[in-house]
Amino acid sequence: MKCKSDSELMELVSQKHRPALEELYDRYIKLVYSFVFKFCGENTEKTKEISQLIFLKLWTTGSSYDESKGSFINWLLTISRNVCIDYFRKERAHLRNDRTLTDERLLEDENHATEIDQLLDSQEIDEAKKHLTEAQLRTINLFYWKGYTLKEISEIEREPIGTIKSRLHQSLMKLRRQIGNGDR
Amino acid sequence: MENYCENLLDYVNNQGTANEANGLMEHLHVCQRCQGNIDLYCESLELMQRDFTIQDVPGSLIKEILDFVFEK
Repeated sequence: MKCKSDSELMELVSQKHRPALEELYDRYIKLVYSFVFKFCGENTEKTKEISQLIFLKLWTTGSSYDESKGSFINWLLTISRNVCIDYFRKERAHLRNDRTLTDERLLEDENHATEIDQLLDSQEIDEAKKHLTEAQLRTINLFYWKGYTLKEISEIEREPIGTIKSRLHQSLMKLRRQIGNGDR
Repeated sequence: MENYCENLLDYVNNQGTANEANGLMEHLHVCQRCQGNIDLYCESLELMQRDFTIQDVPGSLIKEILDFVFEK
């Protein structure tokens, strides 16, 4: 299994080949765990639950990875984020029975290794984030790392949805410009 | 949520139904502004995916997570 590519392993996983999933797990559990750990605000119990759901999704749904559409790591992180968002949306739906959304604001607060290191150039991101205002950073975090909808962010921030939309648009544009795409 | 130009950000954040997603794909063929914006949003969000630090997985969890998957 060690010599197989991620794509080949995913093909085997779709045929319920257990050693293939075990190999992908060995390669990427650290990446998935770390991503979810941040998404969960460093809550270990939730990180465990969501990591289980992510690998369960790979195993049971035969999620199809298409090599021509980008790197396996980006694909895996996108799936991870979607699972995180679903998890927290369900949790928030339960919470809404007991308290208003604005109250939730109080709760806010080897080869593969090389490839992962290259992907996670957090210094570059940290540098780019310095060009964002506090409000822009907060909005991006609510949108990306918490999975809130624009409507929910507008309620949390107590600002019109148009303001949130515009702020997010400007923030994403600035972020992309800062990270090596300034010529666009 | 079928006003595609107004709701692009929600679409890239996994809101909306499969039908709406298909409608958006058709809309993108005829609206250059939305095509440009969707490229911007997807690229920027892909950059955001890098914004975390690699953690050590607690030893006790490594087996527990995988066992859960195969038990289901």
